[in-house]
Formats: sequence, C-alpha cells, structure tokens
Amino acid sequence: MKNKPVDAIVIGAGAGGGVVAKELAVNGFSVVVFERGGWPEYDEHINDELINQRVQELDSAFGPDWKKHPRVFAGKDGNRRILNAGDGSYNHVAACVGSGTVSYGAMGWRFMREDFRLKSTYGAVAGSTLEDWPISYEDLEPCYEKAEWEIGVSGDDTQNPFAPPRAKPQPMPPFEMNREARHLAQAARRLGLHPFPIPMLRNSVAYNGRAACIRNRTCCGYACPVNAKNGTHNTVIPLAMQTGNCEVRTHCMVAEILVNDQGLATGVRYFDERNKGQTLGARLVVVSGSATETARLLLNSKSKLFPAGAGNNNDWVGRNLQGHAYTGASGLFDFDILDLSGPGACMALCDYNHHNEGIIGGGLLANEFYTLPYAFSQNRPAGEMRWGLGHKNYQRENFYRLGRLVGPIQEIPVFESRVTVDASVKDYWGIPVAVLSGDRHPLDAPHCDFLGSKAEEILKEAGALRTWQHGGGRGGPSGGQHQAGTCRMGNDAQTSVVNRYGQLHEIDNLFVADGSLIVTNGGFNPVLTIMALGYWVGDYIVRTFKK
Amino acid sequence: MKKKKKTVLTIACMLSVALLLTASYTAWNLADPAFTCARCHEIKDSHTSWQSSAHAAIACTDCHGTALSEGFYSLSEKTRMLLTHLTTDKRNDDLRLNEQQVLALAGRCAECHRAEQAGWLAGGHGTTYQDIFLDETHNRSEKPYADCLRCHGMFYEASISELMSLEGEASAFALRDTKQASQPVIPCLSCHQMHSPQDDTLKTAFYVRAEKDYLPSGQLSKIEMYDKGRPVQTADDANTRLCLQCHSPNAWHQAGSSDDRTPTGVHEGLACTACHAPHSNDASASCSQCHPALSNCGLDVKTMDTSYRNPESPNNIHHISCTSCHEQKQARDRRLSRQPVSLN
Amino acid sequence: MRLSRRKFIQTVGVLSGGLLCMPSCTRSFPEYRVFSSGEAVCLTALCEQIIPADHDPGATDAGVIHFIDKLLHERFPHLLPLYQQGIAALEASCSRLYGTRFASLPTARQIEVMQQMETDALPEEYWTGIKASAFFRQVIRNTMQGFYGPPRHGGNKNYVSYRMLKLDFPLVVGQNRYT
Repeated sequence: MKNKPVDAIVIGAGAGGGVVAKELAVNGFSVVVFERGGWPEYDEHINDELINQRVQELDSAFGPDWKKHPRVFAGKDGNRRILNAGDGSYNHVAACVGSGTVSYGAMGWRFMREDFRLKSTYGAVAGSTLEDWPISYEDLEPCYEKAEWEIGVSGDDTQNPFAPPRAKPQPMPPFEMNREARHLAQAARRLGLHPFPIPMLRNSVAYNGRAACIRNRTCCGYACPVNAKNGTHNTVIPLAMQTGNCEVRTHCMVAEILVNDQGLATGVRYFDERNKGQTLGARLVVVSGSATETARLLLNSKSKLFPAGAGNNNDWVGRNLQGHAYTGASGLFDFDILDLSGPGACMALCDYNHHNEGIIGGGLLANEFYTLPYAFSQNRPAGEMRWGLGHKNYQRENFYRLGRLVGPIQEIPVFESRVTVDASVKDYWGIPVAVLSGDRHPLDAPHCDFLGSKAEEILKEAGALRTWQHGGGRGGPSGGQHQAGTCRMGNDAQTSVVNRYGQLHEIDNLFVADGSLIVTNGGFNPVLTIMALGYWVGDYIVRTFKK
Repeated sequence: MKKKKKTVLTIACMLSVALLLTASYTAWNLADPAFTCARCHEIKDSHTSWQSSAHAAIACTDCHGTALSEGFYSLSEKTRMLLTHLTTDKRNDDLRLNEQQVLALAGRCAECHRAEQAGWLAGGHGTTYQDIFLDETHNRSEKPYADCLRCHGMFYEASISELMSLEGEASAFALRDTKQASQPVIPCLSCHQMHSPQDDTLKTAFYVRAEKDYLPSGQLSKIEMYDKGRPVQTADDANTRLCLQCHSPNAWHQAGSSDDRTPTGVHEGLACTACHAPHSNDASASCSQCHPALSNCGLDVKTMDTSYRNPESPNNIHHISCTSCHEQKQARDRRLSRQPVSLN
Repeated sequence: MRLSRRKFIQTVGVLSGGLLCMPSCTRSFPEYRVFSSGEAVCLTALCEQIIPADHDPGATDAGVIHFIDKLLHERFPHLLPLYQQGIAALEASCSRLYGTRFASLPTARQIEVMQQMETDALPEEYWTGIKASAFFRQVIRNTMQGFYGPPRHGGNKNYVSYRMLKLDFPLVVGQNRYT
C-alpha cells in the first residue's frame, strides 16, 4: 500500500528538512519526505556557466521548472508581475533533493551570541519587528556541533577572535588560502583586523567516505564533480534512507496540509510524480520548504479553525520576510590577484559583525567566489564600456585583477515585507502561488554602505588602484538564497507563528524547520544555522512524540 | 470470391509497400550522403569534416548504423532523427554515437589498426569498468563520483548513480548492469576523432564529455606547471596537452600532484611520448635510447634504483634528479678527489 | 524490447512517410533556423561590433550568430519578435540616415549608430512598439552569452573566449590521486 499513513511527513528535502528527516528516521519514526524537484545530477549541467545556481540565463540548474512554478511580484506602485524562476525578483531557491546545499558556496557559519539577541543588544528599532530569538546561542550550540560533524565542516575557529564559544572543534582542518585571500588578509591585518580561513561545508580532507575538495573554480553555483561538498543530499538524507524508515518521494508537489476540526494536522494533500492528486496521513507534519514556499503552503492550508491558513489566525504567517543584501566592494589591482584555485572565497573577517558605531548588527566580509567570463562581462564599474573594444580590453586586462570583499549584512525585519498567496494565479497543479511584496527597512541601505566602505578600505590598503562599493539594501522585498523569517519563532503566540521548538502555537503536531523560523538573519550565510535548527526541532519531536 | 479478391488485393498492396520500403531503404543507405543525410542542416558539418578525413572511404552507415542494423534501438533512433527533422523541434545539432556504437567501433578500428589495438589492450588505457569502478581500496576512501566519467567511461550516457549502486559499504558497491564490467572505459574514440582531417599529423583529439564534442589536441590549452612556485618547463606538444587533460595536476598546477606526471628534475621538459609509446604507454625501451649515450657516468640505467625498474623505488622516474641515483658515484668522486690525480 | 503493434505501425508510417518526403529533402536547407539571410547579415555585423575581432577572435569567429539563432529557436522563441523588429528598425534607420544597410556602413559609423541605439536616439518612426535601447541590451546580453558561455550551446566555438582569457579548457583540475 503506497499511501499507508506514516509517523511523519517532511515537506522539502533541503537544509532543514533533510536534517529533520534523518533525526526522525534514526529514532524509529517512519518518514516520508516530499520534494518537488528530483535528485540532483552533476551530469545534467556539469560546469555550465549559463545554467547554474548563480547564473540562470538559460534555465534553472536545480529547479524549479520555470513553466510550472510562477510567482507574483507585487511592487510598491501596485503593479503585479507574474514571474518565472529565471527572474531575479522571483527570489528562487533550488528545488531538488538537498536544495541549495547541492550548489552553494558552502560557508558553514555559526551565528554569534548577539545574533540571537539583537533587540536586547541594540534596542527596539522604529518601523521594524526586530526581536530577540526565543532561544539562545547556548541552546543551539550542541546542534551546531552536530551539523558540523554529521554534515562536515572544515575550519578553525581559534583563528577567529569573535567566534562564539564551542565545545568541540570543527571536524576538518581549514582550507589553504588562495592568492587573493592571502593578499587581502595581509592588508586586513595591517589595519588591525582579524582575518581567518572561512569555515566551509566542504571536505578539506577525505571525510565520511567521500573525497577531499579539488579546489574547482566552478564550485559556488554548481554541484560538486567529486562529491566533496557536503549538503543534506549526500549526508543526512542517505543516512535517513539507510535506516529503512525514510522514503524520499521526488517530483511531488504538496498542495495543502490537512487540519481537522480539532485543530490537528492529519496529513497532506499532494500531487504525485504523475501529477495525480493523492493524500497521505501522518501523526505529524514538518514543513521545510524555504521561507517563501513554507509560508505559501501554510497560507494555502485553510481549515475550519484556521480559515486564513494553518497557524495564521494572528496574520503573522509570511511576515518579516528577509534575506541578505550581499554588499561589499571591488578593487582593480595592477597584478594578477586571482590564481583560480577554487572556489574563490576562503578568507573572512568578523570584525564588523557587531558593535559597530551607529549600526544595528553588521556583517562578515569575505573574498568572493569566482565569477566566470560571462558573469564577469556583466559586472562593470561605472563609466566602463559594456560592448566594443573597450569591453574586450577590460575583460582581458582585468579578469585576474579584480579583488572583491563582500558579505551579508544583517537586515532589519519589516512586518510588511511578506509572502501572501494569490488565488487568481495558479501554478501547474492549480495551487495558488506566492506573492512577494513589501520593502526593506530604510536602515538597510546605510548599513550596506557602512560594510561596503569597510571593504573598500581594506582593498585600498591591499593596493587596489581603483575601487568601488556595491551598495545595495534598497528596494524589496529581500529574499534570495538566504530567505528567512516568515514563520517566526517566539514565546508570544500573538507575535510569532511557532514556539521555540518550531511547533505551531495552535497546531501541536505541525512543525516548521527551515529558514522561516529565523527571527533575525544575522550577518552570516544562514545555512549552518538552518541545519542546526533542523536538529533542534528534530530532537524536540523525537522527545515529545516518542512512540 | 469477393473476400478472396480482397485478400489478394491486400497482399499485393502489402507486398508493394514492402517492396517500396525495402527499395527506398536500400537506395537511401547506398546513396551518396550528399544526397541523403547531409542534406540536413544538422548533419552538414559532420559530413564536411568526414569528407576530408582519413576515414572518407568508410561509409556513414558503417559506424552510425542504419535504421535496422541494431534492432529496436537503431530503428527508434533513426525515427527520432526523422521526427526531429520533419518537425520544428530541431534539437539534435550533432549526431552522436551511443556508447554501444563507440565500443563496437573499437572492434572495427582493429581491422586496420591491429598493432595499435594490441598495444592499447596491453597497456593501462585498455582498462575496463570493472577495474576502475570496482576497486574496493579506492572506493573505501572515495566514493565514485560524477567526474570519474570525465576520463573513465566518457561515453557512458547516464550518470554515475545509474552506472553504480553506491549504497552501504565500499564492498557492496556494484555496477548495475553487469555486462558493463568488461567493457573498456577508454575506447579508441576517447582520444581519436573519426572525422578529423586527413592532413592532421597529430591524429589525436580530446573527447570532452561535458560538451559532447572533440577538441583537437593542437587546440587544447597549454597548462602552466609549477614546482613549489617555480615555473616548470614543459613540453608543449599537442599530445602532452592531451595527456594532461586526464593526468591533471591540482588547482595550483603543482607538477606531480594529483594525477599529474609532468616530469621535473633531470627529465624536466620531456614530452610524454618521448618515453611512452602511444597506445600501450610502454616505456620499457625508452631509457636506453638516451642512456648511456647521453650520460657519461657509466652506470647502467636499467639496473639503477628507480621507479622504472621497481615501482616501489623512492626515485620516481618523473622527478628524479642526478643525485637520486648518483650518490654512489659522488662518493667515489669524493674519495678520488682526496688523492692526487694524474692528468694522463 | 517488445515492439507493440501500434508502435510498429506508427514507426513504419513515419518511416515510409519520411522516405516519400525524400524529394523535398533534396533542396538545401537554410543556414539559419529563425533568421532570414538578410537579418543574419545585419545581426552578425551588430554582434561583431559588440565583441569585435582584433588580435583575439570576435563574435563572428565564436559563432555568436549561430548561438542566438539556436537560442531563439529552442529556448526563447518569445524573443524572436523583438529581434525581428529590432533588426528591421535598425535597417530602416540606416537606410534613412545613410542610404545603406547597417552591415555596409564603415566601422566608425556602425559604432556611432550603436551609440544612438543605446540612447534611443535613432529616428523614432522606425522604433514603434519597441525601444532601441531594450533591443540593443538584449543583443548585448545574448552576444556575451554566446561568446563567453560554454561551447555546448553553440557559441564560444573552439573555446575562443577561454583562450583569450587564458582559462584552461576544458577545465583541468586533477582529481584526488588514484592510489
């Protein structure tokens, strides 16, 4: 019987869902994971510069299908545009087993203590829903450790004076810096800063039966040719499947979480790989579809007790959508600063993550992942020719001479920056699609300018002849790969969607485990935090729903 | 009566259709491709290159088969081509052999290139799927991954997970199709392009799996090599570039790193083919070609302790320096230098 | 593999149909899939000025026009009207201003026209329903894709742009040593 009820349904096989599925499966829960994409295959696009997670000129490399998954972008001016996943405003996240963890740059950051206590540290901010997390760094620390060891991180936090305390070192030694990183690190040190090797969810040495990284230049945006990049698709999900308790159903689109009149989830309604409508019952349901899709699914799950969507009686589902304005600066040098030993990024500093004058939060700075020739051609400082001989000369002269320092700035959460659903626009299966609307907080722009100016200082110190800042933090809403915040965790059921364990305040057997939980998105790439939250939520479910 | 007439008519009809089909099919296959296949946009370039190639005397169908040469596979393949051509859905720019055809072709190559095939079979490049993918020692440290197929099984048409089941311990890894086990992973077409021009003295090209196309060796990029930061002199001949595609260094291009065998030390600058015979990769005759004629130490290179003589030797033939072997002679020289030497 | 009767009849039908169509195959096929030869001449000249050949190859050498032709045919047919209208408007503008086709103009004049296109300064009457700058931006974008993208999409013939940028090609990175 295919649709025999199971203990747990996990929706979405990404960073959060993959971890929860594994935690449940190894503890004896029968689990079905629904994934709307398929298993990622390196062979499908190999190292295609025009079809990868960073450059999607011809198609999405890892889904979602452009034709089947439209979204609506609602601008400030009241204009509504229907988007496909190739559009920048779509804010897409890879749709495949492993999701973004297949093709990410794989920085494995822990948030700092202050990132969990932004309001206590900096005070309330006008026009913002800035808040402390209901859990502390100390609560999450064991989960970070589990993520680092089970999924695999290379790094050495002892070189980072701002790193929060940890019980156990990262399992693999850090990566050797490339030429750009060494050069910028020296400059940073001269300025009294504290550069160190970036913690990476990649194997610096062979680990868990998989190869060591070969320093491929086509890394960030691509699947790994030698399987040395650690995502949920090649670590926890296979572990979950090996228990015999977990089944991953790919190409399945969940339409709705079924909630009964007693206010409990009973299972899901979904479309199977043949697009046939099905239902599957479960004792509990975990939603891990990323900040946009998780919110969309909850909002589309209308029931008698929750006419505005599951857990949405206070109208907080989909609110506080946030991402990261990746900002920084570029500098042109008069020597080849790049040596093309991949993936590019390998040096970072956390001097500007917190306690900056006049800034709430801040962000890390790291040298950037490589851009390949096409992406490089799209990136020009003001005043440079975009075509003709001027274009060609710039490509030739500067392809190895462009140094960059970039980082994710902590964004100030905004209540009106949000995901809603639009019943008039349906996807391939007839499910109402997500609408993205709202603006960034006005403080984001000056915060970006702050971090950009710091990056520029370092580039100048390193000897860059010409520098420019990237700006950013304007317009909105912000989402992107780092999208977060739409199902906020909190102790107060009036101003959050789930409790400190990712459990919906009003539906005891419905959980969220992905970036949606994040209260404030930190000045760090959030993936390790999402994985840690997966362990955190998984552990709670195992303890409270034990058979 | 009426029924009989109908039957006769049907049979006659069927016969004539069959006759027509057979006749057109035969005519099609025998005709000059300039009037058949090569009329199509998609095939024009391949046809042009074939015409000027060393293999111009070999008919298209000899390698690419006919609609009926390989049963259902070829029938459906050719039907797809026809559909592709007749509809607007022109997706096949280049017509590729499938792996089965590539492997079958290796047998045909041997009809003329017998010695080359014997050498290839005897050498490392004659290796099979089984040897490469079921090496348990290797698989224990590194699970087979997608990019293995870049150099081994480059014509394999699916992904590594379709080639192998990779669940559990390395000892449990298996080829999903056991027939694949004894197939060669580096067939002739890995390094030879059937359509390459006749006047090309190189005769080699690299099959780029990612692009599903060849790049003639002469057009491959020169790879700069380093030895701990020092630029290493390399033979910049086309075949060395070809070898480097798979015998590649790490991201820093350190000579001798990863799978690279770029010589440093006394052999720095030598091309791969200076010592290795093509096809067999055999180097057994190569040392004596230069030594002792070019060395005056009087030592017999064949008996020296190098990895040529003994793979376990610390003196890797690719990185050997004078002092690796000449310690003995140096010691003798030092001893001699302590005594007065007569000049005559 | 078992061949169902239905499939067999279908196949035979298609094959015999195809054979009967043979005579129609004997005319030679046009070089481009979506462009007329006139459009191709204009677009080739335009792309070549976007990435001109000097001591390194340019857009024409890289096969950019074939890349765009294939792209508009296979992936983005919705862009074809923009290209067709843009090319027609460009030709009309050149004809009005200089009495000749864009491709026949001397290099300096071509660049001048392109600068006008970039700033929407060409005669407006030929650019109705289409913005010259939007068309030009699209051509630049696709030209860059065809020149710098991987050869598998039909451009960057023989990796000319990788060679120009001294990128090793195909990507050469050794795997972890086979021991």
